[in-house]
Amino acid sequence: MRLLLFCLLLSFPVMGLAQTDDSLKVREDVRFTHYLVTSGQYNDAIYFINHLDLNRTSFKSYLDSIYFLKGWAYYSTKTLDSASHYFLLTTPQTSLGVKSRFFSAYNYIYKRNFAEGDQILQSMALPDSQLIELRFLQQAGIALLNRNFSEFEQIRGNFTDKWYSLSETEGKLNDYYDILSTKRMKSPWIAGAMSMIVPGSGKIYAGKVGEGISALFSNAILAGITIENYRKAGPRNFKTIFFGSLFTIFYCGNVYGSMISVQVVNNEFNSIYDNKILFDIHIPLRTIFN
Amino acid sequence: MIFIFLCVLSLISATAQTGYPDSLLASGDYRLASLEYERLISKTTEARELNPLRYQRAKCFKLLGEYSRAQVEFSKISYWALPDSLVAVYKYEEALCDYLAGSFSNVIFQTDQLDSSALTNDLNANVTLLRALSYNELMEWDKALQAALLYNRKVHSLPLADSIANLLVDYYQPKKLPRLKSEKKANIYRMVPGLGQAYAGRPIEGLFNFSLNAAFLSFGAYQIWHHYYITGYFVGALGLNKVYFGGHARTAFLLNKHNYKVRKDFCEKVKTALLYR
Repeated sequence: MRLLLFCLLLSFPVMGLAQTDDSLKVREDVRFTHYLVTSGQYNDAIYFINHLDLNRTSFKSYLDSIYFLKGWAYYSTKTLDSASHYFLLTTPQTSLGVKSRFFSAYNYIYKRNFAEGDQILQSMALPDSQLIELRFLQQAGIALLNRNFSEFEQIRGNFTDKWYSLSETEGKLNDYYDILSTKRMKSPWIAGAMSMIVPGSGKIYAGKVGEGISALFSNAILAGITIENYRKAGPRNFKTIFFGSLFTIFYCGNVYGSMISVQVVNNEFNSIYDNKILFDIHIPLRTIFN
Repeated sequence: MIFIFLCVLSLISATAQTGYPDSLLASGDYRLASLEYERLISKTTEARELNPLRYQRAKCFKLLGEYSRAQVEFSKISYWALPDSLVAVYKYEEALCDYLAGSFSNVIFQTDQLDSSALTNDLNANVTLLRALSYNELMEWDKALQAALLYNRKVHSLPLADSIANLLVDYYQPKKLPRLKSEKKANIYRMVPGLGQAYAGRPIEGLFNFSLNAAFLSFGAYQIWHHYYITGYFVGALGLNKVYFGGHARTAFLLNKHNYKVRKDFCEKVKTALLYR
Protein backbone atom coordinates (compact mmCIF):
# COMPACT_ATOMS: atom_id res chain seq x y z
CA MET A 1 0.00 0.00 0.00
CA ARG A 2 2.82 2.32 0.90
CA LEU A 3 4.64 1.32 -2.28
CA LEU A 4 1.51 2.01 -4.34
CA LEU A 5 1.14 5.43 -2.76
CA PHE A 6 4.79 6.16 -3.41
CA CYS A 7 4.50 5.24 -7.11
CA LEU A 8 1.36 7.34 -7.43
CA LEU A 9 3.13 10.31 -5.87
CA LEU A 10 6.09 9.83 -8.22
CA SER A 11 3.87 9.76 -11.32
CA PHE A 12 2.65 13.34 -10.81
CA PRO A 13 6.01 15.06 -11.23
CA VAL A 14 6.85 12.72 -14.11
CA MET A 15 3.64 13.65 -15.95
CA GLY A 16 4.18 17.29 -15.18
CA LEU A 17 7.74 16.92 -16.40
CA ALA A 18 6.53 15.46 -19.71
CA GLN A 19 4.07 18.32 -20.30
CA THR A 20 6.59 20.92 -19.25
CA ASP A 21 9.11 19.16 -21.48
CA ASP A 22 6.87 19.58 -24.55
CA SER A 23 6.22 23.28 -23.84
CA LEU A 24 9.93 23.81 -23.26
CA LYS A 25 10.69 22.10 -26.57
CA VAL A 26 8.23 24.31 -28.42
CA ARG A 27 9.64 27.41 -26.76
CA GLU A 28 13.10 26.27 -27.68
CA ASP A 29 12.00 25.71 -31.31
CA VAL A 30 10.62 29.25 -31.45
CA ARG A 31 13.79 30.64 -29.87
CA PHE A 32 15.92 28.79 -32.39
CA THR A 33 13.79 29.97 -35.31
CA HIS A 34 14.20 33.53 -34.07
CA TYR A 35 17.96 32.94 -33.81
CA LEU A 36 18.15 31.68 -37.41
CA VAL A 37 16.23 34.68 -38.72
CA THR A 38 18.21 37.27 -36.75
CA SER A 39 21.51 35.68 -37.77
CA GLY A 40 20.54 35.92 -41.44
CA GLN A 41 20.08 32.20 -42.12
CA TYR A 42 16.74 32.73 -43.82
CA ASN A 43 16.60 29.63 -46.02
CA ASP A 44 17.52 27.48 -43.05
CA ALA A 45 14.79 29.18 -40.98
CA ILE A 46 12.18 28.43 -43.65
CA TYR A 47 13.35 24.83 -43.90
CA PHE A 48 13.23 24.45 -40.11
CA ILE A 49 9.74 25.94 -39.79
CA ASN A 50 8.48 23.64 -42.55
CA HIS A 51 9.56 20.70 -40.42
CA LEU A 52 7.75 21.84 -37.30
CA ASP A 53 4.45 20.20 -36.42
CA LEU A 54 2.43 23.37 -35.99
CA ASN A 55 -0.74 21.38 -35.24
CA ARG A 56 0.59 20.50 -31.79
CA THR A 57 -1.36 22.11 -28.96
CA SER A 58 1.80 23.58 -27.46
CA PHE A 59 2.36 25.66 -30.59
CA LYS A 60 -0.99 27.46 -30.42
CA SER A 61 0.32 30.38 -28.39
CA TYR A 62 3.38 30.75 -30.62
CA LEU A 63 1.71 30.60 -34.03
CA ASP A 64 1.80 34.35 -34.53
CA SER A 65 5.54 34.42 -33.88
CA ILE A 66 6.16 31.48 -36.22
CA TYR A 67 4.10 32.99 -39.02
CA PHE A 68 5.79 36.33 -38.57
CA LEU A 69 9.29 34.80 -38.56
CA LYS A 70 8.52 32.76 -41.66
CA GLY A 71 7.10 35.82 -43.37
CA TRP A 72 10.18 37.79 -42.36
CA ALA A 73 12.49 35.08 -43.70
CA TYR A 74 10.68 35.11 -47.05
CA TYR A 75 10.68 38.92 -47.04
CA SER A 76 14.44 38.98 -46.46
CA THR A 77 14.98 36.58 -49.38
CA LYS A 78 12.78 38.83 -51.59
CA THR A 79 10.08 36.16 -51.98
CA LEU A 80 7.40 38.78 -51.40
CA ASP A 81 4.29 36.77 -52.30
CA SER A 82 5.08 34.07 -49.74
CA ALA A 83 6.08 36.75 -47.23
CA SER A 84 2.71 38.49 -47.56
CA HIS A 85 0.88 35.19 -47.23
CA TYR A 86 2.50 34.39 -43.88
CA PHE A 87 2.32 37.97 -42.61
CA LEU A 88 -1.44 37.92 -43.15
CA LEU A 89 -1.81 34.73 -41.09
CA THR A 90 -0.90 36.62 -37.90
CA THR A 91 -3.64 37.84 -35.59
CA PRO A 92 -4.64 41.35 -36.75
CA GLN A 93 -5.14 43.06 -33.38
CA THR A 94 -1.74 42.21 -31.90
CA SER A 95 1.38 44.37 -32.26
CA LEU A 96 2.94 41.60 -34.36
CA GLY A 97 -0.18 41.55 -36.51
CA VAL A 98 -0.05 45.30 -37.11
CA LYS A 99 3.64 45.15 -38.05
CA SER A 100 2.99 42.16 -40.31
CA ARG A 101 0.15 43.89 -42.11
CA PHE A 102 2.16 47.02 -42.78
CA PHE A 103 4.93 44.95 -44.32
CA SER A 104 2.46 42.81 -46.22
CA ALA A 105 0.84 45.95 -47.66
CA TYR A 106 4.30 47.24 -48.63
CA ASN A 107 5.04 43.94 -50.41
CA TYR A 108 1.89 44.30 -52.48
CA ILE A 109 2.73 47.93 -53.26
CA TYR A 110 6.24 46.86 -54.32
CA LYS A 111 4.74 44.26 -56.67
CA ARG A 112 2.49 47.01 -58.13
CA ASN A 113 -0.63 45.41 -56.68
CA PHE A 114 -1.83 48.76 -55.31
CA ALA A 115 -5.48 47.76 -54.76
CA GLU A 116 -4.52 44.83 -52.53
CA GLY A 117 -2.00 46.92 -50.61
CA ASP A 118 -4.52 49.69 -50.06
CA GLN A 119 -7.15 47.21 -48.92
CA ILE A 120 -4.83 45.80 -46.26
CA LEU A 121 -4.00 49.31 -45.05
CA GLN A 122 -7.69 50.26 -44.86
CA SER A 123 -8.61 47.10 -42.95
CA MET A 124 -6.25 47.78 -40.02
CA ALA A 125 -7.59 49.12 -36.73
CA LEU A 126 -4.66 51.23 -35.53
CA PRO A 127 -4.10 52.08 -31.88
CA ASP A 128 -2.06 55.27 -32.07
CA SER A 129 -1.70 58.43 -34.13
CA GLN A 130 1.82 57.65 -35.31
CA LEU A 131 0.63 54.45 -36.97
CA ILE A 132 -2.38 56.21 -38.43
CA GLU A 133 -0.10 58.80 -40.00
CA LEU A 134 2.17 55.97 -41.21
CA ARG A 135 -0.84 54.49 -42.97
CA PHE A 136 -1.54 57.84 -44.63
CA LEU A 137 2.08 57.95 -45.73
CA GLN A 138 1.80 54.54 -47.39
CA GLN A 139 -1.45 55.53 -49.08
CA ALA A 140 0.14 58.75 -50.30
CA GLY A 141 2.92 56.63 -51.78
CA ILE A 142 0.32 54.51 -53.59
CA ALA A 143 -1.33 57.65 -54.98
CA LEU A 144 2.00 58.94 -56.31
CA LEU A 145 2.87 55.55 -57.82
CA ASN A 146 -0.52 55.59 -59.55
CA ARG A 147 0.18 59.21 -60.62
CA ASN A 148 -3.16 60.09 -59.02
CA PHE A 149 -2.21 63.63 -57.98
CA SER A 150 -5.62 64.73 -56.75
CA GLU A 151 -5.76 61.79 -54.36
CA PHE A 152 -2.24 62.58 -53.15
CA GLU A 153 -3.26 66.19 -52.45
CA GLN A 154 -6.19 64.91 -50.37
CA ILE A 155 -4.09 62.45 -48.37
CA ARG A 156 -1.16 64.75 -47.68
CA GLY A 157 -3.52 67.03 -45.78
CA ASN A 158 -3.21 64.44 -43.00
CA PHE A 159 0.58 64.88 -42.67
CA THR A 160 1.24 66.56 -39.32
CA ASP A 161 5.06 66.85 -39.39
CA LYS A 162 4.88 65.78 -35.76
CA TRP A 163 6.77 62.53 -36.02
CA TYR A 164 10.50 62.58 -36.70
CA SER A 165 10.32 59.08 -38.19
CA LEU A 166 7.80 60.24 -40.79
CA SER A 167 8.46 63.92 -41.48
CA GLU A 168 11.50 63.44 -43.73
CA THR A 169 9.68 60.95 -45.95
CA GLU A 170 6.63 63.18 -46.07
CA GLY A 171 8.84 66.04 -47.25
CA LYS A 172 10.36 63.84 -49.97
CA LEU A 173 6.95 62.70 -51.19
CA ASN A 174 5.91 66.33 -51.46
CA ASP A 175 9.03 67.05 -53.53
CA TYR A 176 8.30 64.09 -55.82
CA TYR A 177 4.75 65.32 -56.23
CA ASP A 178 6.03 68.76 -57.31
CA ILE A 179 8.32 67.19 -59.90
CA LEU A 180 5.94 64.53 -61.22
CA SER A 181 2.88 66.78 -61.48
CA THR A 182 4.75 69.39 -63.54
CA LYS A 183 6.79 67.03 -65.70
CA ARG A 184 6.02 67.16 -69.41
CA MET A 185 6.77 63.85 -71.04
CA LYS A 186 8.49 63.80 -74.40
CA SER A 187 6.37 62.88 -77.42
CA PRO A 188 7.38 59.89 -79.59
CA TRP A 189 5.64 61.46 -82.61
CA ILE A 190 7.82 64.56 -82.44
CA ALA A 191 10.90 62.33 -82.16
CA GLY A 192 9.79 60.35 -85.22
CA ALA A 193 9.13 63.47 -87.27
CA MET A 194 12.50 64.98 -86.34
CA SER A 195 14.30 61.77 -87.33
CA MET A 196 12.54 61.76 -90.67
CA ILE A 197 13.95 65.21 -91.43
CA VAL A 198 17.41 64.73 -89.92
CA PRO A 199 18.30 61.13 -89.02
CA GLY A 200 19.35 60.90 -85.40
CA SER A 201 17.81 64.19 -84.30
CA GLY A 202 14.86 62.36 -82.75
CA LYS A 203 17.23 60.44 -80.49
CA ILE A 204 19.00 63.66 -79.52
CA TYR A 205 15.55 65.10 -78.65
CA ALA A 206 15.00 62.01 -76.46
CA GLY A 207 18.26 62.80 -74.65
CA LYS A 208 20.41 60.06 -76.23
CA VAL A 209 23.00 62.29 -77.89
CA GLY A 210 25.58 59.58 -78.60
CA GLU A 211 23.03 57.29 -80.19
CA GLY A 212 21.67 60.18 -82.24
CA ILE A 213 25.09 61.09 -83.64
CA SER A 214 25.80 57.44 -84.39
CA ALA A 215 22.48 57.11 -86.25
CA LEU A 216 23.24 60.31 -88.18
CA PHE A 217 26.67 59.04 -89.27
CA SER A 218 25.50 55.56 -90.26
CA ASN A 219 22.59 56.97 -92.31
CA ALA A 220 24.83 59.61 -93.90
CA ILE A 221 27.47 57.03 -94.88
CA LEU A 222 24.91 54.68 -96.42
CA ALA A 223 23.27 57.59 -98.23
CA GLY A 224 26.67 58.65 -99.56
CA ILE A 225 27.49 55.12 -100.77
CA THR A 226 24.08 54.81 -102.44
CA ILE A 227 24.42 58.19 -104.20
CA GLU A 228 27.97 57.36 -105.33
CA ASN A 229 26.87 54.05 -106.85
CA TYR A 230 23.74 55.62 -108.35
CA ARG A 231 25.76 58.31 -110.06
CA LYS A 232 28.50 56.04 -111.34
CA ALA A 233 26.75 52.78 -112.02
CA GLY A 234 23.13 53.78 -112.49
CA PRO A 235 19.94 52.85 -110.69
CA ARG A 236 19.77 49.23 -111.88
CA ASN A 237 23.23 48.28 -110.70
CA PHE A 238 23.35 45.60 -108.00
CA LYS A 239 25.43 47.76 -105.63
CA THR A 240 23.03 50.72 -105.96
CA ILE A 241 20.06 48.50 -105.19
CA PHE A 242 21.89 46.74 -102.34
CA PHE A 243 23.18 49.85 -100.58
CA GLY A 244 19.95 51.70 -101.34
CA SER A 245 17.97 48.96 -99.65
CA LEU A 246 20.37 49.00 -96.72
CA PHE A 247 19.98 52.76 -96.40
CA THR A 248 16.18 52.42 -96.46
CA ILE A 249 16.28 49.83 -93.70
CA PHE A 250 18.59 51.96 -91.56
CA TYR A 251 16.51 55.09 -92.21
CA CYS A 252 13.25 53.42 -91.21
CA GLY A 253 14.98 51.84 -88.25
CA ASN A 254 16.29 55.23 -87.20
CA VAL A 255 12.75 56.73 -87.25
CA TYR A 256 11.28 53.78 -85.33
CA GLY A 257 14.23 53.72 -82.96
CA SER A 258 13.77 57.40 -82.14
CA MET A 259 10.13 56.83 -81.22
CA ILE A 260 11.07 53.86 -79.05
CA SER A 261 13.90 55.87 -77.45
CA VAL A 262 11.42 58.48 -76.24
CA GLN A 263 9.23 55.78 -74.72
CA VAL A 264 12.29 54.24 -73.06
CA VAL A 265 13.37 57.61 -71.67
CA ASN A 266 9.87 58.29 -70.32
CA ASN A 267 9.77 54.82 -68.75
CA GLU A 268 13.23 55.33 -67.25
CA PHE A 269 12.12 58.61 -65.69
CA ASN A 270 9.00 57.00 -64.22
CA SER A 271 10.98 54.01 -63.02
CA ILE A 272 13.54 56.20 -61.23
CA TYR A 273 10.83 58.04 -59.34
CA ASP A 274 8.86 54.89 -58.61
CA ASN A 275 11.98 53.37 -57.03
CA LYS A 276 12.58 56.53 -55.01
CA ILE A 277 8.99 56.48 -53.73
CA LEU A 278 9.17 52.79 -52.84
CA PHE A 279 12.50 53.25 -51.09
CA ASP A 280 11.30 56.26 -49.12
CA ILE A 281 8.01 54.77 -47.92
CA HIS A 282 9.92 51.69 -46.80
CA ILE A 283 12.24 53.61 -44.47
CA PRO A 284 9.63 54.58 -41.83
CA LEU A 285 8.49 50.95 -41.67
CA ARG A 286 11.99 49.81 -40.72
CA THR A 287 12.46 52.75 -38.34
CA ILE A 288 9.17 52.40 -36.46
CA PHE A 289 9.09 48.60 -36.36
CA ASN A 290 12.83 48.09 -35.80
CA MET B 1 14.95 8.27 -4.60
CA ILE B 2 12.93 10.97 -6.32
CA PHE B 3 16.06 13.09 -6.48
CA ILE B 4 18.02 10.23 -8.08
CA PHE B 5 15.19 9.55 -10.49
CA LEU B 6 15.03 13.20 -11.61
CA CYS B 7 18.82 13.38 -11.97
CA VAL B 8 18.78 10.33 -14.23
CA LEU B 9 16.05 11.93 -16.33
CA SER B 10 17.99 15.14 -16.76
CA LEU B 11 21.14 13.19 -17.60
CA ILE B 12 19.30 11.28 -20.30
CA SER B 13 17.99 14.51 -21.85
CA ALA B 14 21.50 16.06 -21.84
CA THR B 15 23.10 13.19 -23.76
CA ALA B 16 20.15 13.09 -26.14
CA GLN B 17 21.01 16.66 -27.22
CA THR B 18 23.98 15.65 -29.39
CA GLY B 19 22.51 12.21 -30.05
CA TYR B 20 19.62 13.62 -32.08
CA PRO B 21 21.65 15.52 -34.71
CA ASP B 22 24.11 12.63 -34.87
CA SER B 23 21.25 10.25 -35.64
CA LEU B 24 19.93 12.62 -38.32
CA LEU B 25 23.41 12.74 -39.86
CA ALA B 26 23.65 8.96 -39.80
CA SER B 27 20.22 8.59 -41.41
CA GLY B 28 21.12 11.00 -44.24
CA ASP B 29 18.96 14.00 -43.28
CA TYR B 30 21.91 16.34 -43.58
CA ARG B 31 19.95 19.59 -43.78
CA LEU B 32 18.03 18.98 -40.56
CA ALA B 33 21.18 17.66 -38.89
CA SER B 34 23.02 20.88 -39.77
CA LEU B 35 20.18 22.89 -38.24
CA GLU B 36 20.20 20.84 -35.03
CA TYR B 37 23.96 21.33 -34.73
CA GLU B 38 23.43 25.05 -35.26
CA ARG B 39 20.82 24.95 -32.48
CA LEU B 40 23.37 23.48 -30.09
CA ILE B 41 25.95 26.02 -31.27
CA SER B 42 23.55 28.85 -30.49
CA LYS B 43 23.34 27.65 -26.87
CA THR B 44 27.08 27.20 -26.33
CA THR B 45 29.92 29.63 -25.79
CA GLU B 46 32.78 27.30 -24.79
CA ALA B 47 35.30 26.75 -27.60
CA ARG B 48 35.85 23.14 -26.54
CA GLU B 49 32.13 22.42 -26.96
CA LEU B 50 31.70 24.57 -30.07
CA ASN B 51 34.50 22.98 -32.09
CA PRO B 52 33.04 19.48 -32.49
CA LEU B 53 29.61 20.97 -33.24
CA ARG B 54 31.04 23.23 -35.95
CA TYR B 55 32.98 20.29 -37.34
CA GLN B 56 29.87 18.15 -37.59
CA ARG B 57 27.93 21.02 -39.17
CA ALA B 58 30.69 21.48 -41.73
CA LYS B 59 30.48 17.77 -42.49
CA CYS B 60 26.74 18.15 -43.12
CA PHE B 61 27.40 20.94 -45.63
CA LYS B 62 30.08 18.85 -47.30
CA LEU B 63 27.62 15.99 -47.70
CA LEU B 64 25.04 18.42 -49.10
CA GLY B 65 27.59 19.63 -51.65
CA GLU B 66 27.62 23.15 -50.17
CA TYR B 67 31.41 23.39 -49.96
CA SER B 68 31.65 27.15 -49.48
CA ARG B 69 29.34 26.96 -46.45
CA ALA B 70 31.51 24.13 -45.14
CA GLN B 71 34.59 26.33 -45.60
CA VAL B 72 32.92 29.13 -43.62
CA GLU B 73 32.07 26.72 -40.81
CA PHE B 74 35.63 25.38 -40.67
CA SER B 75 37.00 28.91 -40.50
CA LYS B 76 35.11 29.40 -37.21
CA ILE B 77 36.84 26.47 -35.48
CA SER B 78 39.33 27.43 -32.76
CA TYR B 79 42.18 25.03 -33.40
CA TRP B 80 44.08 26.16 -30.31
CA ALA B 81 41.43 24.44 -28.17
CA LEU B 82 41.87 21.08 -29.92
CA PRO B 83 44.26 18.18 -29.20
CA ASP B 84 46.77 17.44 -31.98
CA SER B 85 45.02 14.26 -33.11
CA LEU B 86 41.77 16.13 -33.68
CA VAL B 87 43.56 19.04 -35.37
CA ALA B 88 44.80 16.56 -37.97
CA VAL B 89 41.33 15.19 -38.64
CA TYR B 90 39.71 18.62 -38.79
CA LYS B 91 42.42 20.09 -41.00
CA TYR B 92 42.12 17.18 -43.40
CA GLU B 93 38.36 17.66 -43.72
CA GLU B 94 38.85 21.37 -44.17
CA ALA B 95 41.44 20.74 -46.88
CA LEU B 96 39.06 18.30 -48.57
CA CYS B 97 36.31 20.93 -48.63
CA ASP B 98 38.80 23.45 -50.01
CA TYR B 99 39.67 21.01 -52.79
CA LEU B 100 36.03 20.33 -53.61
CA ALA B 101 35.34 24.07 -53.62
CA GLY B 102 38.26 24.63 -56.04
CA SER B 103 40.49 26.55 -53.57
CA PHE B 104 43.65 24.56 -54.35
CA SER B 105 46.18 26.91 -52.78
CA ASN B 106 44.16 26.72 -49.54
CA VAL B 107 44.58 22.93 -49.62
CA ILE B 108 48.36 23.29 -49.65
CA PHE B 109 48.19 25.94 -46.93
CA GLN B 110 46.02 23.79 -44.65
CA THR B 111 48.00 20.58 -45.15
CA ASP B 112 51.33 22.39 -44.67
CA GLN B 113 50.24 23.05 -41.10
CA LEU B 114 49.75 19.38 -40.32
CA ASP B 115 52.12 17.45 -38.13
CA SER B 116 52.56 14.15 -39.98
CA SER B 117 53.40 12.31 -36.77
CA ALA B 118 49.89 13.05 -35.49
CA LEU B 119 48.30 11.49 -38.59
CA THR B 120 47.11 7.92 -38.88
CA ASN B 121 48.30 5.95 -41.91
CA ASP B 122 45.03 6.36 -43.78
CA LEU B 123 44.85 10.05 -43.04
CA ASN B 124 48.44 10.51 -44.09
CA ALA B 125 47.73 8.84 -47.41
CA ASN B 126 44.60 10.94 -48.00
CA VAL B 127 46.45 14.16 -47.21
CA THR B 128 49.19 13.19 -49.67
CA LEU B 129 46.58 12.48 -52.33
CA LEU B 130 44.96 15.87 -51.78
CA ARG B 131 48.30 17.59 -52.07
CA ALA B 132 49.17 15.72 -55.27
CA LEU B 133 45.86 16.63 -56.91
CA SER B 134 46.09 20.26 -55.76
CA TYR B 135 49.67 20.70 -56.99
CA ASN B 136 48.44 19.36 -60.32
CA GLU B 137 45.70 21.96 -60.51
CA LEU B 138 48.25 24.65 -59.59
CA MET B 139 50.59 23.28 -62.33
CA GLU B 140 53.46 22.70 -59.89
CA TRP B 141 54.49 19.52 -61.70
CA ASP B 142 57.59 18.56 -59.70
CA LYS B 143 55.82 18.77 -56.37
CA ALA B 144 52.76 17.03 -57.85
CA LEU B 145 54.91 14.12 -59.05
CA GLN B 146 56.66 13.78 -55.69
CA ALA B 147 53.36 13.75 -53.83
CA ALA B 148 51.79 11.35 -56.35
CA LEU B 149 54.69 8.87 -56.03
CA LEU B 150 54.54 9.11 -52.24
CA TYR B 151 50.80 8.42 -52.25
CA ASN B 152 51.27 5.51 -54.65
CA ARG B 153 53.82 3.88 -52.32
CA LYS B 154 51.49 4.28 -49.35
CA VAL B 155 48.33 2.75 -50.81
CA HIS B 156 49.35 0.35 -53.53
CA SER B 157 51.22 -2.85 -52.95
CA LEU B 158 53.82 -4.35 -55.29
CA PRO B 159 53.73 -5.03 -58.24
CA LEU B 160 50.83 -2.60 -58.84
CA ALA B 161 52.72 0.22 -57.12
CA ASP B 162 55.66 -0.23 -59.50
CA SER B 163 53.53 -0.13 -62.63
CA ILE B 164 51.60 2.94 -61.44
CA ALA B 165 54.86 4.65 -60.46
CA ASN B 166 56.24 4.03 -63.97
CA LEU B 167 53.03 5.37 -65.45
CA LEU B 168 53.21 8.52 -63.32
CA VAL B 169 56.85 9.14 -64.17
CA ASP B 170 55.94 8.75 -67.83
CA TYR B 171 53.04 11.23 -67.52
CA TYR B 172 55.27 13.83 -65.93
CA GLN B 173 58.01 13.72 -68.54
CA PRO B 174 58.64 17.23 -69.79
CA LYS B 175 57.48 16.31 -73.31
CA LYS B 176 54.19 14.91 -72.00
CA LEU B 177 53.28 17.64 -69.56
CA PRO B 178 50.36 19.81 -70.66
CA ARG B 179 51.71 22.15 -73.27
CA LEU B 180 49.90 25.36 -72.70
CA LYS B 181 49.76 27.88 -75.46
CA SER B 182 51.58 31.10 -74.70
CA GLU B 183 49.51 34.23 -74.42
CA LYS B 184 52.46 36.33 -75.60
CA LYS B 185 52.88 34.29 -78.77
CA ALA B 186 49.12 34.36 -79.39
CA ASN B 187 49.17 38.17 -79.15
CA ILE B 188 51.88 38.30 -81.81
CA TYR B 189 50.34 35.69 -84.11
CA ARG B 190 46.92 37.31 -84.06
CA MET B 191 48.37 40.34 -85.87
CA VAL B 192 48.01 38.16 -88.96
CA PRO B 193 44.31 37.47 -89.50
CA GLY B 194 43.46 33.85 -88.78
CA LEU B 195 46.91 32.89 -87.47
CA GLY B 196 45.88 33.48 -83.86
CA GLN B 197 42.95 31.08 -84.15
CA ALA B 198 45.15 28.49 -85.89
CA TYR B 199 47.71 28.75 -83.05
CA ALA B 200 44.88 28.34 -80.50
CA GLY B 201 43.98 25.02 -82.10
CA ARG B 202 41.32 26.00 -84.65
CA PRO B 203 43.05 26.10 -88.05
CA ILE B 204 39.89 25.92 -90.13
CA GLU B 205 38.32 28.77 -88.22
CA GLY B 206 41.55 30.66 -88.72
CA LEU B 207 41.35 30.08 -92.46
CA PHE B 208 37.76 31.32 -92.50
CA ASN B 209 38.74 34.44 -90.55
CA PHE B 210 41.62 35.06 -92.93
CA SER B 211 39.24 34.74 -95.92
CA LEU B 212 36.81 37.23 -94.35
CA ASN B 213 39.58 39.75 -93.78
CA ALA B 214 40.90 39.24 -97.28
CA ALA B 215 37.41 39.63 -98.74
CA PHE B 216 36.78 42.98 -97.05
CA LEU B 217 40.28 44.24 -97.90
CA SER B 218 39.93 43.19 -101.54
CA PHE B 219 36.48 44.69 -101.81
CA GLY B 220 37.70 48.00 -100.38
CA ALA B 221 40.78 48.07 -102.60
CA TYR B 222 38.76 47.13 -105.69
CA GLN B 223 36.17 49.83 -105.06
CA ILE B 224 38.81 52.53 -104.50
CA TRP B 225 40.67 51.40 -107.62
CA HIS B 226 37.50 51.95 -109.59
CA HIS B 227 36.98 55.39 -107.97
CA TYR B 228 34.20 54.31 -105.61
CA TYR B 229 35.92 56.05 -102.71
CA ILE B 230 33.06 56.23 -100.23
CA THR B 231 32.03 52.62 -100.83
CA GLY B 232 35.59 51.39 -100.71
CA TYR B 233 36.50 53.25 -97.55
CA PHE B 234 33.41 52.77 -95.45
CA VAL B 235 32.42 49.25 -96.45
CA GLY B 236 35.92 47.90 -96.94
CA ALA B 237 37.66 49.63 -94.06
CA LEU B 238 34.86 49.40 -91.52
CA GLY B 239 34.13 45.78 -92.34
CA LEU B 240 37.83 44.95 -92.16
CA ASN B 241 38.09 46.69 -88.80
CA LYS B 242 35.24 44.63 -87.35
CA VAL B 243 36.49 41.20 -88.51
CA TYR B 244 40.13 41.98 -87.72
CA PHE B 245 39.58 43.00 -84.09
CA GLY B 246 36.85 40.41 -83.73
CA GLY B 247 39.51 37.86 -84.60
CA HIS B 248 41.70 39.20 -81.79
CA ALA B 249 38.97 38.71 -79.19
CA ARG B 250 38.17 35.27 -80.56
CA THR B 251 41.85 34.25 -80.33
CA ALA B 252 41.99 35.21 -76.65
CA PHE B 253 38.84 33.20 -75.93
CA LEU B 254 40.05 30.11 -77.85
CA LEU B 255 43.43 30.24 -76.13
CA ASN B 256 41.91 30.22 -72.65
CA LYS B 257 39.56 27.42 -73.63
CA HIS B 258 42.38 25.30 -75.09
CA ASN B 259 44.64 25.76 -72.06
CA TYR B 260 41.83 24.93 -69.64
CA LYS B 261 40.96 21.73 -71.51
CA VAL B 262 44.56 20.56 -71.77
CA ARG B 263 45.14 21.13 -68.06
CA LYS B 264 41.89 19.46 -67.10
CA ASP B 265 42.57 16.37 -69.23
CA PHE B 266 46.00 15.93 -67.68
CA CYS B 267 44.68 16.28 -64.11
CA GLU B 268 41.93 13.72 -64.80
CA LYS B 269 44.49 11.29 -66.24
CA VAL B 270 46.67 11.52 -63.14
CA LYS B 271 43.64 11.25 -60.83
CA THR B 272 42.49 8.07 -62.56
CA ALA B 273 45.95 6.53 -62.19
CA LEU B 274 46.22 7.44 -58.50
CA LEU B 275 42.74 6.22 -57.58
CA TYR B 276 43.14 2.93 -59.43
CA ARG B 277 42.21 -0.11 -57.32
